[in-house]
Formats: sequence, C-alpha cells, structure tokens
Amino acid sequence: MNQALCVFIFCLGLLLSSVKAKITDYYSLDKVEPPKLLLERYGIKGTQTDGLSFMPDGRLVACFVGGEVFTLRPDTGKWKLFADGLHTPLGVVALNNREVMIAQRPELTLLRDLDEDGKADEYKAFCDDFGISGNYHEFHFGPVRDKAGNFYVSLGTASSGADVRHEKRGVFDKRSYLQRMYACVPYRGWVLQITPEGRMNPWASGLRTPNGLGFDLKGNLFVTDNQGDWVGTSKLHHVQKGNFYGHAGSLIWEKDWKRDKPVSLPVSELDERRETAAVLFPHGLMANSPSQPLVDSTQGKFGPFAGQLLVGEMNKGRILRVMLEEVGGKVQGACIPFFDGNGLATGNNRLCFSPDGKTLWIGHSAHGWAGNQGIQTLTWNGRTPADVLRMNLSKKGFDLTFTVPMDKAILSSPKSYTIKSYAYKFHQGYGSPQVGVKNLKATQVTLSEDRKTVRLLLPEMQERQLYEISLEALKTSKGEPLANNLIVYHAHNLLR
Amino acid sequence: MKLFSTFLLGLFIINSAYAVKLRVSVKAGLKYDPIALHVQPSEKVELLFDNVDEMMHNFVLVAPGSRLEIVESAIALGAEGPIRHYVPESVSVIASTQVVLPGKKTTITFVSPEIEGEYPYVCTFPGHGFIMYGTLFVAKERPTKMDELLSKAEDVAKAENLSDLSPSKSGFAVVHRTFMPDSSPAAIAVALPGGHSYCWDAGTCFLRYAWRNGFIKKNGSFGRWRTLPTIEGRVYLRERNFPFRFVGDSEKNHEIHFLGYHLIDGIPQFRYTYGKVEFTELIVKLPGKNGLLRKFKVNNSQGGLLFPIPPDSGVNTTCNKGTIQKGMLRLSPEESKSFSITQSEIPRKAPVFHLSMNDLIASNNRRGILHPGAIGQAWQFSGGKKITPAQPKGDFSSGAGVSTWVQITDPKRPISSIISWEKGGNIQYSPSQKAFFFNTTSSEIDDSPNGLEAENAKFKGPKKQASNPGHHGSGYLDFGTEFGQYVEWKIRVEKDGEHQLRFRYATVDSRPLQLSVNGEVDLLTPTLPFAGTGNWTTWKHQVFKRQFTTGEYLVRLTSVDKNGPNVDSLEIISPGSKQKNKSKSPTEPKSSEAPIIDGNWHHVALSLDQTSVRLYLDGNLHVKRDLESGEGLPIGNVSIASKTSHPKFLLDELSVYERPLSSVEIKRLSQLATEPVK
Repeated sequence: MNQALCVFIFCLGLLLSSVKAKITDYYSLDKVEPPKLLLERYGIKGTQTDGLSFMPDGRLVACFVGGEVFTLRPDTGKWKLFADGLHTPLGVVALNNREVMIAQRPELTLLRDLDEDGKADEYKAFCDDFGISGNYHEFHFGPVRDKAGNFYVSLGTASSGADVRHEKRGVFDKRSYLQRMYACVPYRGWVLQITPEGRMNPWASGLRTPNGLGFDLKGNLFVTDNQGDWVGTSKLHHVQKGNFYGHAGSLIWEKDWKRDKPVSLPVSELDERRETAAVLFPHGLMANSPSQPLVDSTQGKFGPFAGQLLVGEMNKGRILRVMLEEVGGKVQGACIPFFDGNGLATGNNRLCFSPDGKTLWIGHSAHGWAGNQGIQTLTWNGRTPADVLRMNLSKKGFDLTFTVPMDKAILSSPKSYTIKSYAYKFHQGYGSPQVGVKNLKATQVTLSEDRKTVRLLLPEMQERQLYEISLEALKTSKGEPLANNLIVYHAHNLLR
Repeated sequence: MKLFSTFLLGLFIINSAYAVKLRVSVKAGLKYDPIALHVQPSEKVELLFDNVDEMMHNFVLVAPGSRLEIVESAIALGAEGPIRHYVPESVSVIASTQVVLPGKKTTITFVSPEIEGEYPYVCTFPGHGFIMYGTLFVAKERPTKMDELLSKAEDVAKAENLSDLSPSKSGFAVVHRTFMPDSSPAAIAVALPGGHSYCWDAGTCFLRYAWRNGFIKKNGSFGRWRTLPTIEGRVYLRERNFPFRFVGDSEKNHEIHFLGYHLIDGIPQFRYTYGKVEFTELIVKLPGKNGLLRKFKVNNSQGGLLFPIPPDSGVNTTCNKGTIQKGMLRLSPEESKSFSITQSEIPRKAPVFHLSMNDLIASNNRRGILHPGAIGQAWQFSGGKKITPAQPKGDFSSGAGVSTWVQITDPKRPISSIISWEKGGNIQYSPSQKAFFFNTTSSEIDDSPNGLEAENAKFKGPKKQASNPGHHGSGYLDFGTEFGQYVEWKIRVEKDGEHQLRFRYATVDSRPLQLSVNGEVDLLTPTLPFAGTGNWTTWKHQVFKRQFTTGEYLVRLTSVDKNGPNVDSLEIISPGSKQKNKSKSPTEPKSSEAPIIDGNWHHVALSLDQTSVRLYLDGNLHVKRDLESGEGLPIGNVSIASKTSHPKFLLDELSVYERPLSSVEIKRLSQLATEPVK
C-alpha cells in the first residue's frame, strides 16, 4: 500500500469518526465473565441476571434465573455462591457485607451470612404477606429501599393465557380472574411497602407488569409498567401512596372493595380514578418492555446526566434516559434513548452503579420472552457525549438544552425539528394506537448565547399529550450529530 | 557399653510401642490419598491423618457395610454435629479422628480388627462421606483387589466433573424453591444426601410428601417453567394437613406463619409459628434405612403436642419421646421441647403413584379440563388418546390395587376403559353387566413378560441384543466371548420361604452359567445347565429353587466358558403363589347387590392378588371373581381413559398400589373425601 493511500484512509477515518460519533466514543461496553457453576448447571441460559447490588466492601451481589445468588470481587473476577435455590428472584439489595434482601416469587427474603464465610446461612422470610395463585406470570419485582429503611416491591398480575393452581396462597377472588391480566389473589398489580420490621402496607394499585422500581434523588418512588391491557403504551409511574395507576383488576384489593368486577366498571370512571404516568414510552419507538429505573447518583462520574433516571429495555439492546420536572404539582418529563445497540445485548433487566460511580452494571435476562443473558458494563471515558441534556416545558413550547454547543445555523432553523403530538387510549384492549396525531412546526426558535439551549415555540399546546421531537438534523458546533435524536415529552400538565 | 545400652533402649521402645505406621492425606475433589490401605489383623496401627485440603475433614474407620449408615447418622446429628466432630455413637465406629482443620494433621492409634475384611474409612463431615472414603484391607496377605482399586482410582480422577452440585454427585443437600405438584405455590423441594427428597410447603408449613430414588425435573421453557416439575422417584410418605395439634386445644386452625430456615450442613431447618408457638423442624434421611428422621423443637407447646399417625401412611412412625396410642403420638410440654420422629418406609405400602388431579400440569401433561372433584379438583376425560402420566416403574408381581373416585356423566352408557395397565387388564364400566368390572387381556402367564429384564439389570461383559424375536422388554443379553461376564439383578423378596428363580433364556446347546446370590455360590449347584432350547428364538425357563428370607438380594449369573446363552429376564415366584397350570376356575362374576350408579362421585377400588379380582364400590364389595387360567397380574405403566372412552367421566384421587388392598383399607380410603361429594 502506498503512503498516499494510507494518509487518505486515515483522513477518511477521521472524517467518518467525526461525522458518525457513536455513543461508544463516550462509553465503553464490556462483558463480565459469568459464574462457571451456572454454565455447568444450565448452559449459557443459566446466566440470565435478575438483580445487581454492591456491598459496602465492594463485592457485587447478583441473582440469577435458576435461583442462585453470587458475589463477585470485581478486582479478581472471582465469583462465590452466596445463596442457592431461590424461586425466580427478581431483585437484590445488599444491606451490608453480610445481609442481602431479595425478592423471590413466594416472599421477600433476608439472606444472612451469620458466620461471615461469604455464604448465607439463614434464609429469613421477611415478608410473605401477599397471595400467589400459582399462575406463572405472578412475578415479584424489587426490592428497593428508601432512606427510612422501608422496602418497596411490586407484584405482577396473572396471565390470562394460563390458569391458577388448585392450592393458592391468600384469598381467591373471582372478581378479577381470567379477564386479560388478572389479580385474583391479594395485592397482585400493587406496589407494597415493607417496613424495616417486615410489616406490609399496601401502597398503590393499578399495575400490570411492574418490572422495576427506583427512586430519584429527591426520594420520589417510580415504577415502570409494560404495554398490554389497560396500558396503551409502556410507562413510568411516580408512585404515591393510595394511587391507582389504571390496570383495573387490582382494584378488588382496595380496602373494603364492595363492587363487582373492576373490568366491568365504566372506563370513564376508571379513567377518572387513575393517576396518569410521569413518562410514557411510545411502543416500538422507545420501549416495549421497560424494566428497572435507576437514578444517576454518581454526581457526574458517569457523564453529564446526574440526577436523571436510566431505564432498561428488554426487547432491544437499549437503555433509556428519563428527565423529569415538576409541573403544576405533577412529576412529568421526557424520555430519550441513552445507549442504543452498539453491542449492548437485549434483555436489559437490572441496573446498578459501581461504588466509584464510573461504571453501570447491566444484568440481562429473558424468561422465555425477548431478551438475553449475562452481565455487561458501561464505563464513561470522561468525554462529553453530544446529547440532549434536558427537555423542559415552557409556556408555549419546550426548552431543549444540549451537553455541548450546537451548530448555530441548524439549531436556529425551525426546519431542523420534526415535531408530532399524540396520545394513547385508555381502554381494556391490548395496547393502543397513537391517537390524535398532529404534525407541528416550531413557530419560533430562540437560542441561548452559549448555543446549548434552544427555545421552541409551538403553535398550540395541549395537556395530556405526548410531544415527540426528532433532532436528526442537528449538529454540534464541531459538526457531529447527536448521539440520540428522538425525544418524547409527556405534557400531562401545562405551564400557565 | 554406651552403644550397647542405646541399642537396648531402642529395642525397648520398639517392643513396647510397636505399631504399623500409616499416613492418609487428602486430594482435591473430596478424595482420600490413598484410597486403600492394608494391615494385618489385630495389629497396632498408628495413623497420621494429614489434611492438606482446603476443607475440614475427619477420618472414621467403620465396620464393613456400615459406611452409608454412619455417614447418614453423622448428618442426622444436625446442630450437634460439630461438637461431636461428626462421629455418631455406634458400635460400627472402630476408630476416628477429630475434625482436622485445613492444613492441620493429627495422629490416632488403634488396634486393627481381628476379623479379616474390607473396612471402609470415611470422612463423616456432612456431604463428604458419599464420595470421600477408602478401604482398609485387614488381611494376612496384601489383597490383589487393593491394587486394582488403587489403579482404578487414578483413571476415575481424570474423568470426574466435580462441579455438579446434585446430591448424587457431590453429596451435598440441594434446596430448591419452585412450584411443586400437590403443594401450595410456596413450595420448597429438598434433595437429601442419601438419595431421598421431600417437598416442604412454606405456605402451609408442613411436609407434603417424601420420595426416594431421584429429585425433580423442571418442565417448560427455561426461565419460565410454566409446567410443574416432575417428581423423579417414588413417593412413600404423604401428609394431608398440618399435623400438629395442642393437647386440650379446641381451636383447630391456628394461624400458621413461615419464618424461614437456617442451613445446617446445607439442610434447611425450618422455622414457623402455629398460633403463638414457634416450631423448628429439621428433616434428614433416616440413617441406614429408607425413611426420614424429623427433628423438632417446640417451646411452650401449651398442654403438649399431638401428632396423628394415620393407618394408611406409607411409613412406620416412631418417636424418641412421648407415647403412641391409637394412632396418636402424645408429647408433654417438656417432651416437645426437643423430639425426633422417625418415619421409615414400609415397602409397597404407599401407592406406587398417586394423582390428586388438582393440577393437570402435575402429571406433566397439560391436556384436559379440571372440574370440582371428590377432593379438590378432578380431571375430565372424554375419549381422545389414552393418557399415561409420568410414573415410577411399578412391579405388580405380588398383586395390584387401585383406589379412585369416578363420576360418570351418563351412567346408561358403557366406558371401555377407565384405567388400564400396559398389559394385563383394565377397569371398565358397563351398565348392562355389573357396572364396574375388571378385564384382563388373556395371556399365558408362563410367557408373560413380567420378569425383570436382563438388559435393565446391572451387567458387564454380555452384549445387549434385540435381533432374535420372542424376547421381552427391549432386548436380551448375549453371553459371548469370554468367561467372567455377568448380569446381576437386585431383587426384593417379600416373604420367607422357598422361592423360584426363573431365568428366561434361549440357546442352541447347553451353555451353563454360574449362579450366585449375594456373592455366594451354591455348593450343590455351582452352575445352572441352561440346556439347549433347540434354537435361538425358542425361549424357555431355567428354574432354580432356594430358601429366602425377606429382604433384598443380588442375583448374579456369570459365564464359566467362552460361550453362553442369551438371557432375557428373571422372574421370582414367591411361595404360595398359584402356578399357571391351575384348573379352570369359575368365571361367573359374583357381585353384591346391584349397585346404583348415578352422576355423583363414587369411590372405586380394585384389589388383585395371585388368585382373585375384587372390585369395591363406595367401600363395599362390588364384584369378586377368581382369576381365570391364563390371567396374570398386570404389568407396566398405568394409563387413564382410551380412544374409545365414552361418554365423559371424571376421575379424582387416583392411587395405584403394587399390592392387593384389604377391605378395611378400602373402606377407609372410600371415606377420605372430606369435601361434600356432589
């Protein structure tokens, strides 16, 4: 090869890299070697990972599909079996170096290593004060712990594609039975609070498959839900005590429920009764099966998005980012992909940050649906990705703030923004099409002096609408495109 | 002189403390090094046990044949294990060290047994003893077998996979929480070292059932496991309800709360409360026997505890404390603080399999419709393929029994098959005859394949073949090229007396085989002739009669020449059982009063012995007849319904036994339906 050609290829490479900035230019993706024992017991599928948490001494605790809990010393890569034989564990919280709280199908279990040999000796039933019908779809998600030491878990509803067992745990109530996803035993479709003493308090209802709980930095509790009956598109709910979030079946476990089947109530009444989501993830565009929300608590060690939520997605190799604000007393906001493809596996079920905050650990699983297995890590390399930092509602539109200065000409042109508004139906049917779709054009575009913020004014604003903005045309001042360019804001409330 | 005195001194020491010195160490993967030692009888032994391993171990020398019992007894020590260095009190323990920490060593001295033999040494640290053991050969001459063992051990070491945690491989208990059949959804499946397993229900806090010879197989797509697991093995114990009651307590159903479990040597010790009283329960394998040892601790048991012992339980129940009267164990408050219930399997007492019909998926088969049943739910059938649920292989050679509830939706129409064996009979329903009746497919007992197939026995040398027609099972064993080839059956003899061993075989000319029982060759009949049957496709029986006492035996045929016969199966005829050539018996069915069959639930029971068939309806004798000439006892798997089943019927609580059922037992079984029968 001659020299000129080499130089040409080098320049071409530079050109391409400058044009096609990828998220992997800012975050490196790595794979974690799984415990050998899992491979030996089940093969690769046995490495499906459903819970991640770090102990104060730096050991990672992970739980797996077959019911194993392992600890890992990340410095040596050495796994050690901590507990075994759990029934579909779907989340762990390490309380200290000897105690791990874990949500498994029949109970919230406190695993305790009493003799400090690195293996649990006691499996304490911390809370089993909820029903199980034997339907395979009744998952037990969580736990997360608030600052006061309370735990929160969420209970999946049963699948209408399968029946219940003859013997059940808890009261069986046929008012919520076999009508799509159903809640025939207590607190299915609920978020529960478990006090530090193990006492259970029913917390909020109306959920379908709430596969993931998390707090923001202010201590607000969030839970995701999966698209299906009563859930037009997947959602992130801000969970507050006593609220009902729309999936009808779980209403029978409200205190003193004296009415008939919740599904036979007028939809308008249910709609009235429900609290709407903080964020909606448009089906197919953003997420089909969102999982755990995890707040970026790293204070900037993982990049510029401190305080925002990261949310796993099962169907795609994607982790989403959620930015929230309070408008008219309601927490609402926008979602945007954060890391998309580029080697990230599907089945992004559980997330946690390393103690130093630099690395996001991602557990992958599938449980017979779309997904994958194993553990991957994402580490920030310190370079600031070109991306949307914030999206805020303004009185007549939105303010978009970017992580880096943007190309002024493109940023100031209304043509650079493709804007749509729409909503999703609330009904018993499975999912919903987008309804009331409108294509909108920015009537006015104003830039900040540092070219990092743009104010878009829209011809009209409507409450309870999603505003989807494509930013494909935008370029940074260096000519790079944005790492992610589709953002959707849920304008439940408007600024007055 | 000085030199001489030193010599004398040395001689003195040797004389007084003369001992053969042995050293035993540990290799990775739970192995002693070496795995075989040799000493003279009555010899003083000084044994250095050097634990170079990363785990704790001990060294326990035990009497021949007692290793497993000692290993299981050590596990059964439970929380006391560490204090006792895992050495149970037993006359079978000849010598033992304490538990030696990793990197430490210890020396013990003992006198070797005066009787020659193979004495196992074993690490009784829980879980280890199933694989970590060796043999001390006590003999005047170093046995050649010892060197064979040593060389074989090296080959095995290369091939072994040490990571498998199933108890059969590792010796450790397995605790696995999963949905289980016949349990609330909060079930815990436990496999114990020693090959026994149980299902403990964390929803209702009691032992639901126990089985042996396997653990569970999970079903359904990986990670979802929508279908219930299959129990691999044979259930010998079932409990129907939370067993305990307080003496003098009128409240029968206190609240039950599961508190969790501690692992003791990997085995869960459950904690739960019944009312305000806390229970702990540790279940281990019954040392040396088929069964369970259940250790309880109950503080403040109010007026004392009651534990019912139902007559139809598959186990013999005893307790180290309290008194048993009229099927009830009574424990005083003091006694209930710590007690052990022993439940040993009574062979063939429990059904070989039982279907509660509460969950279709329990039978590893989701087809069908469930309806309210006599107890819990019932399974509805209406033609279609016959269904053969997963079940252990039954042996009905000493009789058969069935207990079930049937509901027939149209009692005016017949049902060609409700329950059927692979061969040898089915229960039918015919309104025009005597309602229910039992029909056997006619077959010569002399040639019915109800023996123990040679190809399923243990064998070394002979080749499994299937090319010659007329064999039973999946083939036969071809003794061919050299002597020393063998086939070995493990048989169970149920009563004392003279039994016939009937070997089914074929050979062109006489080709003798040596017979041994439990390793002993009969002096008068060292070989059996296996006379020519004419050609390779003519199968005949070589019969041998011998006195047996009840128990298990190893029956082995060994080739004594470079050729041998084709051996198909072994059939054991117990004393008193009627032979085939009996005179034709009256076939006229004898029935009780014409039964009234309606669309309600009815209990139907069948009892089959060597001579007669009895059918019971709702606990009363319904049809009795003698077995006809040519009728034999049934064989093979039990199926439900058949293609021609018609009309619809429902079946509930099906139990199949490998023995006849007594009328008293049937009466009790017919009264089991506690829920209103509709």
